[in-house]
Parts: sequence; structure tokens; C-alpha cells
Amino acid sequence: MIPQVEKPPLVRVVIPALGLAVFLGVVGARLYFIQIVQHHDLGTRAETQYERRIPVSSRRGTIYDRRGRALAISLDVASVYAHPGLVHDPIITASRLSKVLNLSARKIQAKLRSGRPFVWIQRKVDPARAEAVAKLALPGVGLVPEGKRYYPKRNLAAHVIGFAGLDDQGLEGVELACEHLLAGGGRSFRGRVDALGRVVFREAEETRAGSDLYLTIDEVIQHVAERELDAAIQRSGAKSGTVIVADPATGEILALANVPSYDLNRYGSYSPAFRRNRALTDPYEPGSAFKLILAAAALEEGMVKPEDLFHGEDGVIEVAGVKIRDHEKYGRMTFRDVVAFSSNVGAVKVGMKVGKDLFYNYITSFGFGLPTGVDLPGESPGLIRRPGDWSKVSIGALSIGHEISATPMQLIGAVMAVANGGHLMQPHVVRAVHYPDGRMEAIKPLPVRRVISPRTAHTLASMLTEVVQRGTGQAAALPDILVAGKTGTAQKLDQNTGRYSRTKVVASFIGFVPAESPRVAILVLIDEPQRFTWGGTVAAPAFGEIAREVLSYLETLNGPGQVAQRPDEAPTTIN
Amino acid sequence: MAPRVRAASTQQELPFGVRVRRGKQRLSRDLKPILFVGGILLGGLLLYVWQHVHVVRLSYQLEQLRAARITLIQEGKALGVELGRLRSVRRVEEMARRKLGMVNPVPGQVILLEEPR
Repeated sequence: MIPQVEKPPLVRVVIPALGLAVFLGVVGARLYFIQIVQHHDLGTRAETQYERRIPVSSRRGTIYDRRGRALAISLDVASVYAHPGLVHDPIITASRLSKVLNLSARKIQAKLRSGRPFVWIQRKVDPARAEAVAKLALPGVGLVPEGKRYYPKRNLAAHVIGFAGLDDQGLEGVELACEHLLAGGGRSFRGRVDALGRVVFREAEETRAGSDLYLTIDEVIQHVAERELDAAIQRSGAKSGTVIVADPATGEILALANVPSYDLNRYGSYSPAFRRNRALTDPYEPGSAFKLILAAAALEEGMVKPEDLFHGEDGVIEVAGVKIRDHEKYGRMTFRDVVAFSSNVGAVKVGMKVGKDLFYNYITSFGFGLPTGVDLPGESPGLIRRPGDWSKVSIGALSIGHEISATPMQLIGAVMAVANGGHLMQPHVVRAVHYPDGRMEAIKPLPVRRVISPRTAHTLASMLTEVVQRGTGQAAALPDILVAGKTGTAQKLDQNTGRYSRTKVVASFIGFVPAESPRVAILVLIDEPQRFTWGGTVAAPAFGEIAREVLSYLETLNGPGQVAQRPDEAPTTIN
Repeated sequence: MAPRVRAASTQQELPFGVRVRRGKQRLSRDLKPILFVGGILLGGLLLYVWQHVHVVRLSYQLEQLRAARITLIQEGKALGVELGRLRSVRRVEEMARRKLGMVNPVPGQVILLEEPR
């Protein structure tokens, strides 16, 4: 018997095959419909569900002093926001948030009912509160990191550094002036998140870090300037004051202090009067300190020599019917004496010799009437009228530093020019920029123009040392170090009467040390002192203290006898 | 020699040397290459899925490390701020004066020496 070979029945092959084919056909058709026909719509929906723009930490640049000590730094803190459309119950949400954030529930509720797609509940909260909000896990409420600016030195150099606001945007000082350098480009990246909101893939990050800035300010010198200014103001009961310490060779501002000042970490608690950088925004009549410019013009033009004699007219001179007086009666005196004892009569006579056009040229050449160009915001150009607008008394008034208003920054610029041999330097506070790509760009000193010859500068410096040795500025003298400077005491214009006040004055002292090879130029200005109302009695002592400590500090820094060493050559700790 | 016939599960011998193969046995032999190819495809598919899962897992780890790095950087910055505050010249001077009773040196009290080369 031949055994039968078993064949698979047709139905057992064909039917499953057909079934499979139909199934695959349906799947294929569905796939086609989803992948091809609905590709665009579904792709867009998926992207909106999974793709997010995720905020990242702030990258605002750090601000350092000249030796690499951080003055302003950004840290991440959380801000609480809400998408009102996603909030389930505004009343409960507001109530719970108000307890954690210590805010009014009504105000939060108003925000949640505002109908806007996004609202801030509270910006830049402290870490404990942020954690508490996160634990609440309220629908529609979230936390986002934002950069908060911290100023570890608080008041130090407040008017130079300035501050950045809630949106991490510079609002004052270097923070504002260098916003384009400090601010980062973007602060988010695109990424894909899972159902729990965790980042799975991140695409190209769009953040661009800000650059770090190294200022010309030195923390130690700045502290000395602030401390001595505070002391001078307390001693004299003055309204306000300014100190500027600068390097005459480079125009670098080593310290800039104003009183009143403020804590940069709590800038919102202070009125604008505290935050104003008076060294730049408040021009004043410099008084006798301006005789420096007159002397420079007279010496440079060869119209007067240091030993030329003038008569003191017993302390009074009349110019176009206006009497200009000296604080003491002088007889015959040399031009050196005129400067040393700050004789108004002698200065008026010198001014008349120079003449208004020439004097005006020197005034503007020294930078008065125009902003110095310092890299800080809000600088006033001061005020100097053109010779055509001068009255007959103007030449006399200008010779003693009236009928002109100048900022402390303009005056320190003029003093630096005398100290460095005749070059007007552009003052600046940014020493170097450290770009995110690692490049370090040093800001080079910028000479504006030569205003007097080295010979005139040298002669004038020697005359200014006599101010301190035997004249009105003896309180600024230092043992074993020659100081050059000029006192100034200018009556202020009384806004009510339109006349010069007898009680309100601006007392100042400007100069440089050591006189033979100047390392620092210093300006001390005390506004409305109630006691010790002369520049020589209130500003000169502060000048002397600052000069002594600064020179001692520089010598310690640079080594014995190396006071005059440039900071660029000194060892630095820039990170 | 007696023919040997393979049964579905055991070998079976039939008379006259006729070899008999049941349908299941033939189907099994025919399916082998299909199963082999299918297995390879399935393996490839699983490998494809696995690598995606692995990438996702690594992405999670990467994000965790990123977050930890940011936290550490922020902590470092916060410590830097604290250090800056503590080393502030004003604060140090105030402590030196008030707590330690120190005063500014008068001229002559500070003698600087050249560092030996």
C-alpha cells in the first residue's frame, strides 16, 4: 500500500495569507494616511507637545576690580510664573501661593484672572520659597531660573559699578554703559521633553555668554577714598562730597567715591539723589582750583613768568564796577605767590594779561565745556560761555573760577594733564574686556591732545608744590614726599537771591603725588561744609591722608621704592 | 536495509522503503529560512528600538549631569560672592580696628625689604 503524502489544504494557506494581506493592507493604508496625508498636522502637534523652549541660567558677565576681585556677579535664582489658562482653580492656587510667597492672595488672584497667557507671580525669590512653590506642584504654576546680580562689596564703588534691574539689564554705571558687553545674547534653548517635562534631547543652544569686565578701580584705593571722604564729611558737617583718584599717565580712574552713596544690593531702597554719580552729573564752579588753568595758559603763552611781580592792591580789585576781594590783604607778590596763596587780585591781573580769547581757548583745550568721554553714563559737559557772550566782569570772574561750571571728572582730567607733562588723557574705568571666547582685550590709554608743553607742565608743577609747602594747601603735605596741588573754595550761587551765598561753599583740593614723578592725581571736593569751610582746611587734609595711604599701598604692591611703577607692570591676580 | 521514516516527532519505518513525511514536518522545514530571516529582522528591529531607548536613557543621564554641573557652578559662584563679602577691605579693616585694636602704621613703622632673588 502506497502511503498518501499529506498535502496542506488550500484553505489553510490561502485564508490566513489573505487575512494577513488584508491586515497589512489596512495597516499600510493607515500608515500612509498618518505618515503622508496627515504628516504636517500631526508633526506640528507633536512638536508643540514635545518641543519646548527651555530657559537656562543667566550669563551676564562678571565685573572685577583691576586685581581680579569680583565686584558684580550673577547667580541663578528662581522666579515664579503662571499660565492662567492652565490654572484649575485660581482661588485655591492664589491662596496657597500667597502663604508660601507672603504675597496678597487677592493680587495673585487678579493676576490669575487677567486673561493673559503668561504672568509673573514673583520674580527672583529666595531658594527656600522657590522650593516650597515647587513642592506645591500647582497646575499652571512654574519656576524659571533668572540671573540675579549680587554685589559682594555692597557700597564699594557703587557709582562706578551701577546696578542691573529685574530684567538683568544695566540701569546705572558700568552696568549700563557696558550693557552691550556684559549682557548675554539669548537665555534659552530648544529641546524635546517627555510627558513629565524632563528634557530628553536638546537642540542647538542659543545662549551667548556676556563678557567679563576688569575695571581700573582698585578695591583698596577705592576703600581708602571712601573712608577718607566719609571722615571729611563727618568732620565738616558737609552735605555731600566726591573723591577721584586717577593715574595721570593713563587716565585710569583708580577710585571714584561719592557721598551720599548706597548699597548696590538694595538700590531700590534709595532715592535717585543717593544714586547720582555727582562726579559726572553735578557741575560746580571750581573757584580757585581753576587758577591752575589760568596759570597754565599764562605760562604756556609766555605772558607771565613765575617770578613776575604783581601788586595785591590791599586785597581788592574792581572789574567793570564789581569788586573782587582776597581773603587776606597782599602787597607785592610774585606769580608763584599768587598761586601759592591763591590771590584773587593777582589772578584777575593775570587773567587780564592773557585775554579772553586766549583764556577761552585754553579752557576748552583742557576739556571744559565738553564731556570727557569717560565710559560712564550721564556725564554733564559743564558750562562755559563763548567769549562773545562774556560780560566785562567775566574775565575777572573766570580767572578765579567763577562763571564756569565744571564736573569733578573734568577737573581731574586737567590735573592729570599737568601731572603727565601736558597730555589731556581720556579718563576711563574699564581696563580690560574678557570675551567669552577667551580673548582678553586691554583698553589702551587714549591721549586726547597736548594742552601744554612739558616745560610749562614742569614749571606749573613746581609752583603747585609751593601751594603745599608754604601756601594755602599745607594740610595736604606728606613727610618726605613732595605734593603738588591747588586749593579751591567757591561760593555757591544762591538760587533764591541769585547772588553768591556767604555761607554755602564748595571746598576742594586737586593735585598729584609725588610731584617729581606723579603716580596718582587726586581730587577731593566737599560740598557745603558747615565747619572748616576752606579747601585748605577740609579738603586738603583728606587729600593728604588718601595720598599717604595710596602711595604706601602702591609701594607695598610694587616693592621698595617702586611707587611710580605702572600698574600694568605690577603683578596682578586676574583669573 | 529497511527504510527509515521520520515521524512528526519520532522516526517511523514503513514497508517497501517508502519514506513518508507528514505535513507538519514539511512545513517546519520550509519555515526554517523564513523563521531565520524573520529572526534576523526581529533582532535588527529590537536592536534599533534598544539603541533608541539607550539614547533616551543616556539623554536623561546627560541632563542630570548637566543639572548637577549647573548647580555646582552656581554653588561655586555663591561661595565666591560670600568670599568676596568676607574679604572686603572695609570689613577686614573694621574687624582689625574694632576687634583687634589695630591702627594704621605711622611712617617709619613699615619697612619694605627686597625679596631675595
